[in-house]
Amino acid sequence: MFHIDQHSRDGTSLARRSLLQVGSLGLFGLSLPKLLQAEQQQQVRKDVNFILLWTNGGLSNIDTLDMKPDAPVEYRGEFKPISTNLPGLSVCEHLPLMSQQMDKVCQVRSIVHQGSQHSEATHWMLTGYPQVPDVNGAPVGSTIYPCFGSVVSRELGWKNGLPPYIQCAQNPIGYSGGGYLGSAYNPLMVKRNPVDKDFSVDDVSIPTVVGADRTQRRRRILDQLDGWQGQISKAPGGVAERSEFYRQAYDLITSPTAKNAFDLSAEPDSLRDRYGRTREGQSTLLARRLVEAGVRFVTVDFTGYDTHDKNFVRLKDPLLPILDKAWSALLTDLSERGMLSNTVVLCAGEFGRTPRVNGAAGRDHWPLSNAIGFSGAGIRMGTIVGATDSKCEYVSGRSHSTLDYAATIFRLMGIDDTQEYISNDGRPIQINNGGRAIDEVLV
Amino acid sequence: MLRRSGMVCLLLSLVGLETANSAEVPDPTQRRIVDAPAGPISFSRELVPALTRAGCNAGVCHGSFQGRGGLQLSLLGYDAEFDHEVLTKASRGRRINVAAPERSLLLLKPIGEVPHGGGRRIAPDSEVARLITQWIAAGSPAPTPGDLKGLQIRVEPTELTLPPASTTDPLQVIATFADGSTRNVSAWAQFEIRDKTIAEVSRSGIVTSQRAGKTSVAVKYQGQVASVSVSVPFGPAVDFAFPAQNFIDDIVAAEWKKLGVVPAPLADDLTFLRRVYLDLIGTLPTVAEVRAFQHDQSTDKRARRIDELLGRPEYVDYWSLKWGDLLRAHRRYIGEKGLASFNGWIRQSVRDNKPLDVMTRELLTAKGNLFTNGPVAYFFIDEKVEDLAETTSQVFLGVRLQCTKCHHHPNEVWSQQDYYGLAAFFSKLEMKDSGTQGARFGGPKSIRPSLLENPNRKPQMAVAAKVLSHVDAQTPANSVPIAGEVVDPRLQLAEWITSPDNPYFARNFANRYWAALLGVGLVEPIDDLRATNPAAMPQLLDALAANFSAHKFDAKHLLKTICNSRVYQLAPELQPDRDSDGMLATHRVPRRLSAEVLLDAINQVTGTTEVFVGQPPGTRAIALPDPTITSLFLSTFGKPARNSPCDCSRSASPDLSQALHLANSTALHNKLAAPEGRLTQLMKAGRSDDEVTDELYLAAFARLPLAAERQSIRDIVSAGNRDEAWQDILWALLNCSEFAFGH
Repeated sequence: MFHIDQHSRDGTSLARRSLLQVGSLGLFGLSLPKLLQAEQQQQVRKDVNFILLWTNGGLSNIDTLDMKPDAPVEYRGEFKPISTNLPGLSVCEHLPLMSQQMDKVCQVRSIVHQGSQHSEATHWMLTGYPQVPDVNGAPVGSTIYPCFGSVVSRELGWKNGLPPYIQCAQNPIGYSGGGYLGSAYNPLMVKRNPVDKDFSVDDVSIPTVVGADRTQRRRRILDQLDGWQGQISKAPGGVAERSEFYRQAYDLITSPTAKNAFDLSAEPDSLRDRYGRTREGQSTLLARRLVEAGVRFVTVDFTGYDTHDKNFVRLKDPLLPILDKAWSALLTDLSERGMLSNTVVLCAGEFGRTPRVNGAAGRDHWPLSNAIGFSGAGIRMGTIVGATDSKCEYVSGRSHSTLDYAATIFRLMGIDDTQEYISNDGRPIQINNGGRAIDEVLV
Repeated sequence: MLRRSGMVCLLLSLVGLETANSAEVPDPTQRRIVDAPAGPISFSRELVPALTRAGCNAGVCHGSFQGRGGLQLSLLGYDAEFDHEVLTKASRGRRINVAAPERSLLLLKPIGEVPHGGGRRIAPDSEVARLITQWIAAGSPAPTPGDLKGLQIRVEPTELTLPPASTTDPLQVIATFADGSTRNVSAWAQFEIRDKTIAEVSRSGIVTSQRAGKTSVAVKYQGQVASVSVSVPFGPAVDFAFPAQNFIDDIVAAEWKKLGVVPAPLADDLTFLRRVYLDLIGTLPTVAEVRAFQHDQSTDKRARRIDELLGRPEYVDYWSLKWGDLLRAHRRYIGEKGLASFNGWIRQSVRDNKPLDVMTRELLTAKGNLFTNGPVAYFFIDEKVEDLAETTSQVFLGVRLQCTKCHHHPNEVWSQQDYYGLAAFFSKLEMKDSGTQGARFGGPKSIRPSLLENPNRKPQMAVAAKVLSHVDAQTPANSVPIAGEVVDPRLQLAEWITSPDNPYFARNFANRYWAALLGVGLVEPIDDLRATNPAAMPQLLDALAANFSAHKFDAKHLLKTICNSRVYQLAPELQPDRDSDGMLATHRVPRRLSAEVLLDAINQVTGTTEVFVGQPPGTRAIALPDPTITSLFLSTFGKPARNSPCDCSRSASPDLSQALHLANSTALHNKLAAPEGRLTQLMKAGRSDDEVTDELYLAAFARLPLAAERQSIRDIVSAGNRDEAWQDILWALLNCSEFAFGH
């Protein structure tokens, strides 16, 4: 009883849907064949990985990458621009390390959307699709779309016994999961702080009270006693799939690959210092190790950018130094290892911030201009795409929708985003609804 | 002739030529139209359906909201005026070449003469190509107003029974128009089969069976729909004894016999016991209850246990949880105090077994203060009249109207008129919300009917309040007068919805309750009742609905009737050789325990309790007031956030994070080793290994161990540290699929 299916309550264009395809809806919703088989069917396609540095809360664009030193004082703020290794581009004085990496960044200033609250804006920027909140600001009733990382999970699957999508965040980032594709496409969460000496990954690291030997023994006992599972064939409802997930789980729990990938102590101290001994810095380093080991999409949560008050105080310390270290260390590290040729790095948040400084020396939400930075595989690095007006209020000239931005990401990952998925209420939904990849970003 | 064309289609589809992307194959069925249009070509009766069949106005092509390649058509041709405008006038009329119709872009694109993003859709010598040319030559006449008025379609035959690997004549689709004229529109209709693995349907309506089972073909023509049920028997009709407990068994057994399929045997007592506890009260039977049931020699012990469970307090917890999910009880919408009020009403209704029509009327006509009248919450959880229309239709009627907010329903007769007609019932409401920032932080809230349209609650499209107009015209529904002088139109809506004559209400809930108990709805998805999605066993759904209605919408009666049927009490089959999805209920399909039930079950077996923030110690997961209470376990196992009226957000499928959490979490280990826990207590009490084994098996699986299982456990325990061995064994039992699934 009491299923009632999810649907769009979005009053805008999106609710105008394409044809229902009842025939293709499995009885139990989406099955997981791709997830389970992807590893076996290694398709010939671009093997590109993705690291998303998520400036959660909304990084102030006018104070960092898109500075307007000639704007009136109530706009330009108190930070000074410094020159970068990209002729003609200045960035914030509190991004000294990144100022020397701008040749590796394609900065995009043309993306515009309409989500003015965090949750909906996050949906726009993590899925490409609009989201409409209810009166309380909580998106309700709408179709929740899968995050980029979840689409990557579904399309590319596991590699080297490692799950395709991992998120390093103390609390899961909103809309960073599988959406209508289901929880099977949610990221594996790394919630603990990798700075800690006894850093472990919940449910992945074996509890010390149990230990590796007992974990192996438990698995043997389970195989011995679970006669029921052994008999299963053809039964729907996920019984047959369950043993596959257990196999994956054990691979992950016991595999040296995973254990090693999570082991930051294998990195030289000097490199760990370069990333910064912060949760974000060490998580970024972890992201590099994970990608190296076979994870396809890693998100690192950089929190605290919702600077409604004391914007300048908070950006100056600690927010920008944390980002500056982690981001620049990642770019140089990847570059030194030759990994920029098969890894995309994106530093983005849900929106920019109001160009006009508010009464609390802060800046508020501003989805009408934003600055994000792409680097790595397939990116035309050392360029700037799009421009904002003299006060950083609006995009001047051509703007891009979040669907265009999403199309760019899918293109980089080698994913055909015109494919259709079937939503949990049986509607065909394209991975991307008509966005066009931003050519200027791509090589 | 027809037979031969069928063979051609079959061959083409077998070699994979007839795919969506291939050009329209020279399909002889299309030639039959030649004698049909005597007069000028009708834009809406012929040309648009022709484009629809060629896929031009499909959602992925020009029917998309943004259009494709600069051309936007109405989705599946629901708006002929718009399409005519676009094809003849937009882009400065460049799509039509009056001087040389055969050189018109409208033709050259789909036949691939000029580059076309969608490739070649129409063969140059096909009927569709000829039609387009003739229509242009005739001056591209506009749609005649009222052309489709009163249009109804029927399909012949409405039922097909065919052995595997056989093929039928093309289905015949007959349209009747308002003027009484009829026309064979088979060539322009669209055919879609529900389950392609059971049978396939060609574009010309030829059905080819693949494997045994039941499915249906949806037939569509210009916004009208019909359905053909397709049965592919498992073998010749069979006969067997199936002692019926009630009408359910008679109907289902007759269906099985006709389809040549034999059901699983009756489940044994203990399998039944675990199942009925989980299904009715979301709780495992205790060790003592299992033992007592096993030793009970009376013949009516199953029926007595069903009655007993329906009176248990856990019944109230469990079914209130389901209602809370369905109605989205959450403090996000109504604040903490509002939540308490709404939950109080839900629990009271479940406890009193309030008839479902009464519950529905109380919800739909609620007024006054939320804090003193719980169901008022319904109007704060959905605030926009459109949302209220969607939720009301989906929850109480099992009808999904969402599509019709923006366009005609692609698989039903519902239009935007139906959508906004329903929404208009909610437009005369005055809403008071004194909470800070909307409802989020509580504060007095009330609803009262108003004489006037509430400007804040006006539907986007002004339509007079009316109930779904295409519901069988004989029902009194459509004669409900929606007069201006009525103060609260919701009364009439509630009256119509809960009327015993309503074709949806009783079926909707009968289907939901059937699905809750059997694991699979007779209609799936369970809230998608429509002509093109018929029930797997329509007679059964009709009978259940009639029985439910005759018993005054008594939910406990319905549950009891289903649980007492022999069909419900069949054994599970782990290797079904037929009916593997359980649509025909020939055996029990295992399904994963829901998040709350599983967590409670783990606590019950390990003898521990969960501590939820802000809840009294010992609160069970099935009794939590809303999803605000954070629990890693519950979110991992898919407790819905109640952010959409959608139980599909309750994930029931296993995934990696669940496996990791159950297999490797410190939390579960701590439960195994808890000092107050079952294991520690058993060890303290000095129970023998065999005694401990028995108790754990009874607690987790509601059965005694097999000899081999007992021996395995003896070997494990004797091999080393006894406490650790038992922890590892109990860990394994909790990770077994037999534990995590209901069966």
